[in-house]
Amino acid sequence: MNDQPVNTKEVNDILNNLAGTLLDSIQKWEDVVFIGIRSGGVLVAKKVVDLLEEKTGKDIPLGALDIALYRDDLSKMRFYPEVRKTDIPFSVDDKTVILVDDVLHTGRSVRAAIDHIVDLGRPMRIYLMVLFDRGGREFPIQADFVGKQIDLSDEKIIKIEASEDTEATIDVIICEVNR
Amino acid sequence: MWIKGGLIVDPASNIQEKADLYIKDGIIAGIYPGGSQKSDEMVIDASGLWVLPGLIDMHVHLRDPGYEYKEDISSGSLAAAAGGVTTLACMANTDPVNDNPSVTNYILDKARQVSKVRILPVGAVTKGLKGKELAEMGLMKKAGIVAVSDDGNPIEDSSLLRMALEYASTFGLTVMSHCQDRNMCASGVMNEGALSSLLGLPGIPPISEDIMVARDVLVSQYTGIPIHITHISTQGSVRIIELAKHRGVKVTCDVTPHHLLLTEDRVRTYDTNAKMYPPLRNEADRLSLIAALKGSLIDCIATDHAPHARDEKDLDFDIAPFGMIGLQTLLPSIMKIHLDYGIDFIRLLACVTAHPARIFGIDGGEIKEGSRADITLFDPEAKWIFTEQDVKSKSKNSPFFGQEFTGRVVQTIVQGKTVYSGN
Amino acid sequence: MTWPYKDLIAIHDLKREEIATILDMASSFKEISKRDIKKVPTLRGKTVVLLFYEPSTRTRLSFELAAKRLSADTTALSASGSSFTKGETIMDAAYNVMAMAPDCIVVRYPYAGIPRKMAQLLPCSVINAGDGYHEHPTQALLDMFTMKERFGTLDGLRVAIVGDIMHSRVARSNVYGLRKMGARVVLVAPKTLLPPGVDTWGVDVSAELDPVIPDADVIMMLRVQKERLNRQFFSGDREYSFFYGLNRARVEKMKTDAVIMHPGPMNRGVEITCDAADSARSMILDQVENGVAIRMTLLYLSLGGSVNVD
Repeated sequence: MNDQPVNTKEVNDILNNLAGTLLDSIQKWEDVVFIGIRSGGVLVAKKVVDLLEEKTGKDIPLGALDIALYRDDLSKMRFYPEVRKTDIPFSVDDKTVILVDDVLHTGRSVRAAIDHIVDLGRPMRIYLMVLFDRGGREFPIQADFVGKQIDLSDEKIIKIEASEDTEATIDVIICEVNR
Repeated sequence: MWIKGGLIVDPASNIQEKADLYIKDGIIAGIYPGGSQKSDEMVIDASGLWVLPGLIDMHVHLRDPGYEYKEDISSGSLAAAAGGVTTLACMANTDPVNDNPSVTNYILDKARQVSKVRILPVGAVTKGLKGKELAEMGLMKKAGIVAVSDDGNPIEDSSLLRMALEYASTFGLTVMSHCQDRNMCASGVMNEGALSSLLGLPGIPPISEDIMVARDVLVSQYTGIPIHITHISTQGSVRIIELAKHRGVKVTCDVTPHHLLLTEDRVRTYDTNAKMYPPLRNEADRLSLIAALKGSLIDCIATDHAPHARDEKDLDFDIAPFGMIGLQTLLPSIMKIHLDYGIDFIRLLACVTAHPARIFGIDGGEIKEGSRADITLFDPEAKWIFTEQDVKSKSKNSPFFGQEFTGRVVQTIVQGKTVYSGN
Repeated sequence: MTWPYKDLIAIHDLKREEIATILDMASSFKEISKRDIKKVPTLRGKTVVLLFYEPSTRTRLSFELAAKRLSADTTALSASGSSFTKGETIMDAAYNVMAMAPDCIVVRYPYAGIPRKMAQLLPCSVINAGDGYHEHPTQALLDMFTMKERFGTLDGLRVAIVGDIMHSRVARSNVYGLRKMGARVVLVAPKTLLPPGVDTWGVDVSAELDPVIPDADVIMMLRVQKERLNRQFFSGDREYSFFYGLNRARVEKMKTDAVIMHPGPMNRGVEITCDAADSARSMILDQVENGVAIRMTLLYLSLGGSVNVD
């Protein structure tokens, strides 16, 4: 195992840039809600929402989406993944949803997340925001807001974890796994 | 015919020695401990084998007439022969019930035609096994029954039991009693206890047997007439019979090989082959039966061979019929008890030869000059695993499948004729 | 997370951590039933056969809803157990159903042992929906889930189970589960309705209900089966409800936050009076609601792939 932590400053810069881009792109914040895909996407969304609330002075709703029940590979798995709670304490009807994931790769998680969201209601529109886009798409899905493009071999994965360092909020580690 | 070089084991004379047997006209014509002369007649080489009196199984269900799809006289006798059993007593719970001489005659006639072994019918105590009116014991005795029993059903009415003992003794018949307080058993299907609660199966409390054993013993004591308690299974029964025998009550009893070797634990998988009456009990009960056998408190070992068809046994544990086959595992089970618990083989053998012969008042069950040439040749070393393929009965319901045994019947001879040969 | 079983036959088979996993996951599944669109695509294309050989409306409905909310196809087959005495055995029926390639069979049967046997012989998942006096594992899980939701933990919880313990698969499954989860269980019944070997269960036993009430966090009332009356287990409704019935006076002696549970269907006026059944302490409808979530969890876990595949 060869773990490479991405340094905290770089991560914070990426998050700040994302928040900045969002502020530039979206004028009306009244109907904007954030929905993070568990678990990495929720961490990223939380950080970005914190930054935006600081800058706009508004409360921005944040929900967490568990996509385990919407995966398309269940029948291929030996064991089903653990199911956690979808926790969206607001209606998505007529909202502008910023769907947040940590890493965009094949596009399958995003497909599942969109299916899940439309089961919850009918948003006005859905944007996709990701911290990293590592390519390798299997579905025709692209992000609207990308923190950083990154090239990684298939043996590597990016792990996003809650940080114990209060400065950082999230830790990003790139590590090699045996597939 | 000669049987040469084997070890003769005869409980009746308490003899265990190498000898040659000479059989002529269905009778043991001579025993030659020192070896014998050369002869032109057929010789069976029994070296390395044990030469035993043919076994007497006093408790068998042949299902004929009426339930021939489970077993009939022919298939049952094949199973007996393969198990080294040369005489068996068949119970009366057929359809029609053997409660009158015409059924007795039917069984004996058919046995003469098709049976490999000697078949001795047991008549019913009461008409239709209903426990109400006495059956025609005297006429059945004339026809050929050796004992009476309502086996399968208890005689619930104590007054009737008293009458039955007195009436049966008039004709020199022994009553074999199936002890079960039906009300206490209710819908029970296995031994009552923590395990029955765990499995969710209704229990049969041991006391439902004990109560009736105690009652039977008291009636026997009161009337002074012997009684035979069949298939005892509990510590309670053992204690009651022990007490009764000490006080001189003329009570005898038998136990099955499965109650000596298996416990209720066999029911854990809901295997209906482990469902029988009395039910397999717990380890303490089993060990008390072993101890009673060791202490010669138990007179006989009998199989309660009870064939049931596969479709009947494939039902739920709650509604599948009670019973298992046992003829072919009788002698191997006895060997196992001998090996596991160090009880002399010859004493155990008496429980399936001399003792049942004495209780029924019949010849056989011994090796001596002039007696019936019913002989079982037994290989005491052979190790084998009992499987469904070995079964000669029509029904294949045994919890012993997969059990490894030491000792196997090699050849069975009835009145000088070989009726089974394992080779 | 790995789930090692294709079947759920008995709480007795489960470890503490496994029960904890089920109870944790169930709240995620409960949330689905609160949505407008109460359906997720998870078990799309899977077939669940409900084989019910004993009258049941609530358990069958609950399983059916659970399967449908996970997008599985369901089909129900009801018959009386006695039809098997004429020729066709329950295993024949099971093999026949199996030939139609279901992914899961949910079975309710009047006698113990059949779900276990089916699980051993059939390649599909088998979930026991109650067999004889043996077990009713999903009922116990939904009861424990309801208690856990209410009290936060089962550890140290004092649970009184009142009534016909001997003939109750619900009581057995609950006792095994609650004991594993650290709850303290007291069984309240006349001696005629206690099962043999209850002393090995690790529970307290009381012949009287009144002294148990002030300490109990949960009072679970079992249904009185009227047919038991024929077998002389107790002398009649009137005496039973006097000594073992939950009524207003007894409810008033309960701890402030203690609750009432009942696996249903109730015999109002026998083991429970209307004012007890309908009081604010009653969790009876929560139990029903939670039943769907628990059964969704178990369908999800049981159909989650084979453990035989390497």
